[in-house]
Amino acid sequence: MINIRQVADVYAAAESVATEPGALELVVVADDAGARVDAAVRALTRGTADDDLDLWADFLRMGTALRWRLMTEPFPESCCPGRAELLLAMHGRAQDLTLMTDAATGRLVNELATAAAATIETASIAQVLRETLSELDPADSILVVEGGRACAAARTWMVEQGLGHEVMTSRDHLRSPVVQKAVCVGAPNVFPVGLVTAPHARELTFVLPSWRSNRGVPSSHFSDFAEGVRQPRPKTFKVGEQAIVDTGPNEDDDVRPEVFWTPRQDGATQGPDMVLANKVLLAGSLATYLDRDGELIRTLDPDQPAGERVELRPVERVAPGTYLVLRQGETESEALLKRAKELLGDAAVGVSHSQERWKQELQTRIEPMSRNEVANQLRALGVVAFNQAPTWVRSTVVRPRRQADFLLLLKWLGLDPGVYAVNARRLIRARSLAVAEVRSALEDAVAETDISNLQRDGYVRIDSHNTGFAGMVAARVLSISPYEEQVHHTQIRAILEDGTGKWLE
Amino acid sequence: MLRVGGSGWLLDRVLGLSCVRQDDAPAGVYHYPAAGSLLAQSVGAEVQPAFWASVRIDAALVGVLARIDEELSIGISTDGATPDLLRDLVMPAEASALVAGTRLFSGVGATELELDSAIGLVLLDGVRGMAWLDELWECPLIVAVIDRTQPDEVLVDAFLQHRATGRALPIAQLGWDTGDSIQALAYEVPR
Repeated sequence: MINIRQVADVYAAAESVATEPGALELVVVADDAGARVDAAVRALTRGTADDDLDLWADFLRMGTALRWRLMTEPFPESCCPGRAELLLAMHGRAQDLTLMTDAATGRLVNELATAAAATIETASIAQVLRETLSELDPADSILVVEGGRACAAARTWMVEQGLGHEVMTSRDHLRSPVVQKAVCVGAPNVFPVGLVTAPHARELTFVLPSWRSNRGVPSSHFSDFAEGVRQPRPKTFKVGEQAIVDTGPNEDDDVRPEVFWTPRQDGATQGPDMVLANKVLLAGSLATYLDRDGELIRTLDPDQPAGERVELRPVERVAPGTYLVLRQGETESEALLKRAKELLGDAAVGVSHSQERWKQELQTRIEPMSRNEVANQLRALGVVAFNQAPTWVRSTVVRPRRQADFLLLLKWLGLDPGVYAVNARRLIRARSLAVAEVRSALEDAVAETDISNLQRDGYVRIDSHNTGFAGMVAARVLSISPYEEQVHHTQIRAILEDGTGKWLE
Repeated sequence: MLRVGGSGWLLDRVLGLSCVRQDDAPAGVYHYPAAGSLLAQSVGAEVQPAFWASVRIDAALVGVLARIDEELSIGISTDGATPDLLRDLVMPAEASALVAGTRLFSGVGATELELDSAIGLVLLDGVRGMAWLDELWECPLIVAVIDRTQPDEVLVDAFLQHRATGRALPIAQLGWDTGDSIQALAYEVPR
């Protein structure tokens, strides 16, 4: 049920945070132990920049994960799930690395390992949080944290401290009624932009460590161009003796756990079965490869109402945080095309012939040309997706996504647009029906699957016995490699086991 | 005398005629809704019957249908005046509706939007609606509503790229008052 009053309350809260003096506060707390970890991570990143990154990637990943957790879960180690495991893994890896490297780099490794071990004693931020919360009425103020693990840690700590305030993840907070005050654990830009631009509290206080140099209030790119924008101006308070933060020259100040992607130059042979794709790390120690061929991929949005959670979206719209729905066995595109032809009945033969003909003409035309030559000629004709021509020869791609592009392509090939365009449209309509069938079956399967822990776990196996698919998984995207690599086409959209993303979750 | 099915109507009492395109539409009497303040303001009371008879589908709404359905039940009015149900203003083309002004599309279920040329306005509701922006090459007027609570920055960037192909329009030039805390952006794309 829509509560129009709640919508009005959010607008009033946005007005309050943007204009009321003191409604947006940053409390910067001296955190020596965290600062030491941050400095050690930065020093090791700089010190190993010219080395084989594969050697250092997992240790650096652990270091950035610990740094992230120290800011978003600044509670005693005993309250934080997985913290002891991370510290133990860092200790073990550091011992291995010091045997494999020179003395100078070994010192950097030891420093990070020692700094990590020293965080067990840290409690300065938690102490400030306790003092802040104890002055606030639990009935109208809450603690907001980023992510399910931080939420579990905060709840354990709150019980230990005897504090009765509600603890919420930012995601849940943004779906709840407006409260007077939200105390948020971490810097503003570790949270979703909406926490400040569409606040569900009339007053926001961010409690963050002193070593976090980027204290800016985030905004949507939309706000950079829109009219009616009121940029909030936070008031900053400092607690404790704070060292000057040095992030190093030109150093990126994003402290999210990183993957440290490297370009793959493994000399794989080019061939008809090899395709260029980007590796995607998924929660649940899974991974897949996505090719940017303009095809759609199925995703799951657990925040939507039942029956409208599964959607097809362009691959270029997949980003960290998106839940991909992947299936075992044949790709979904192949299954959909097969079903679409069944739905066409007798007309399928003519439509298939028409499809084969224009794809064959395209293949013959582009074969002797370079990719750039093809793109340049199509661009000159006015084709918008001129880069994607090589993917249009695939049987699973019915036509370019824009009808106008298809008509221009047919003209370029010297084919009669009428017949081919009509047949492609018939096939698209039949495929739409097939998509609707699959979507409906999937929605039913998702409705029968317990997705309540999806945010905490990051993945769920979907009970797919009614969908006709061998097995399905919905998993959150953790990171996408910026580098394309050559992989066998059977790896595209396949569910692969991969533990690289372990410390990112 | 105007004969429709088994009934007859005095022609001089008929204020308007509308053609119902649904082959399986049930014959019967359709009561147009009582006008609230907004409807009365935009359509004078004396021409209401003719207005309802002349309604045709000229708009489309794309988004999450379950959410849209909830929102259509909201009553809105100018301060203190008789409210109109959003449903009566939008007139969605639902299975049971004899009179319809807006076609509803699921931004999730559709793989393409089939918009006929009579549709002059498309309203994209939230992220699921916004995803269709690039497909609406022919529509003369598009209004996209973005929820700041859940911005999809990939879509926002696509939107800003789309805007870069056009000419910026000041909001005031459109006669809009966005009110407090509402952010807005308008542009015109050459066709």
